[in-house]
Amino acid sequence: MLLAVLMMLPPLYLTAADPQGASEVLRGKLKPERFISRNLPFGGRLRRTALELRYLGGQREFGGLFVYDGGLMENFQPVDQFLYSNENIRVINEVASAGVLTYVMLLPTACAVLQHHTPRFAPLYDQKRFIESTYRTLAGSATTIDAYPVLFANSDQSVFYRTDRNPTAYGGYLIYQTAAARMNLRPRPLQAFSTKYAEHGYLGDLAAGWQLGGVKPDILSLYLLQTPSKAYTVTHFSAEGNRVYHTLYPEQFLSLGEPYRAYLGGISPHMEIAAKGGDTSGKLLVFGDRTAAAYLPFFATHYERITFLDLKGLQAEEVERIRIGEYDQVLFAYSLDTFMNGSVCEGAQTVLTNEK
Amino acid sequence: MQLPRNFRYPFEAKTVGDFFNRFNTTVSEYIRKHVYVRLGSESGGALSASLNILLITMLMGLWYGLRLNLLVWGAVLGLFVMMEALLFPKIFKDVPQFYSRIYTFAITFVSFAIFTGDSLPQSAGYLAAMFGLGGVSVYNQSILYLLDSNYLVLLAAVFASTSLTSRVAGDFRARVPRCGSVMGALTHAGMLALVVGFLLGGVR
Repeated sequence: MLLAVLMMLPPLYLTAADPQGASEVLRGKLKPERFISRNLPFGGRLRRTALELRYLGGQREFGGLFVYDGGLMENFQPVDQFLYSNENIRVINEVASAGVLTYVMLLPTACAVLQHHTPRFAPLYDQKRFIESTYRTLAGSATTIDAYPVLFANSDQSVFYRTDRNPTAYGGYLIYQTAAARMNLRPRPLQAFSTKYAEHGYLGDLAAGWQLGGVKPDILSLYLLQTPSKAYTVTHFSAEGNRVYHTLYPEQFLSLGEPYRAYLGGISPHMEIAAKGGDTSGKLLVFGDRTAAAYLPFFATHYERITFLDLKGLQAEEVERIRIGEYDQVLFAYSLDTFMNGSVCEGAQTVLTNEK
Repeated sequence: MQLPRNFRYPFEAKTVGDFFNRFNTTVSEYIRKHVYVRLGSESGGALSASLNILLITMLMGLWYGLRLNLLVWGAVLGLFVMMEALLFPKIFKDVPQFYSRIYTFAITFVSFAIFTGDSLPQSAGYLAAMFGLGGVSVYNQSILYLLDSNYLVLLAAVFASTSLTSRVAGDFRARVPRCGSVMGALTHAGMLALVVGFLLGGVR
């Protein structure tokens, strides 16, 4: 009798702790083991102890993230090498063949650049080889920009965040420097910018939910062009209403708990950066992803207008409004994990069709 | 309350038959008692004994799930049990412990490739990979990475699968009986907590 009562206690306790979860279990919507794992007393502490033991035992990869010297980086492995990339290459070729100056920049992820921080024997995907083979395929149609060597040569510097997938602002500068030279721009020297260390406690997307601890926060630095002075307007287009910032670095986000949005006000699927004054000229259309936050502020110092499109997050009717003929140059700039794991360039065909 | 021991250091077994006596003993004893003995065990001659052995090892396999690969796992180990019990009983009795343990470990270790799969083709794939067939190298960077990342856990697992821990604990308990019991209880509670922590898994 006593045994029966004792056996009833755990289910009663768990049901009282999470009645909604319990009803989901009864309806078959939630696995019992998942429910128990979620509500187990001291579950978080036990889970963390197990992780700490694994770490002490030499494990340096957890849930697809490598841990190194207080930092985290994703172990990028493409789902399929050609599944999406072939389609993306075909679209780029089509845009390039339409007579627009087209540039392609594939950015390696942190685990390729910071190889010296990855665990011994870790089987890494050969990003360099993929970039080179893609560039060979694109030879003759688009101008390719290889940022891999410059990032790799500076891998002892802070070119990627410790807690975020993105390159740092310094990494963004190196990318810009390489790209500008290929895009007929005169890259500005680093000394032309004053550096402002805006945030010292930034924890990026990789650190969100990380339970093992030991991760050091990042510093967010803003590179401000000293001369010539320019006036910038960054417009984020959205169905809910446009947002406009009259600076490349809306610093109010630093105190609003979203420090990364201090770069251009964040990255929206459709953005426009307009610059007035000084030596700005020309219009650039960028098809890209979140990594644009690192390098776009540098490009903004050259162009009169930059339109940024993240085609994954855009509705068809929004893409239809873009006219490719309005731009002097088109840049496809993707991190390899975006380029290889999705049909990210698909909408660019629509932009081309609009023109016809 | 006295709970029966379910595993008695199966990796210390000297023969595959001995392995079955140590691995999941509550099940093997149940099957032996209710099937093997009732069928006449080894009393009906060599052929009958062979079939009986094969039947109980296959039943042992099916205990873990209704899958063809588990049936084959039981049958394969059954063939070795038959060989040990009926064909070469003297050899297996006389062979030095060191060699018999290596033999048993190798057979059971390889057999777990059949056990692990979800289907017979998958198990065949594991076996092929184990022996470097089908274009898969015997070792590669992924294996080195796994070994390098987990070598302490693996060493602890090897140590814990032997009776050494039990012998050390028994010795300690004999010397300091009161303290030994408390330490034993604490160790078991700690191990339980750790196992639950590892089962919960996940880092993010």
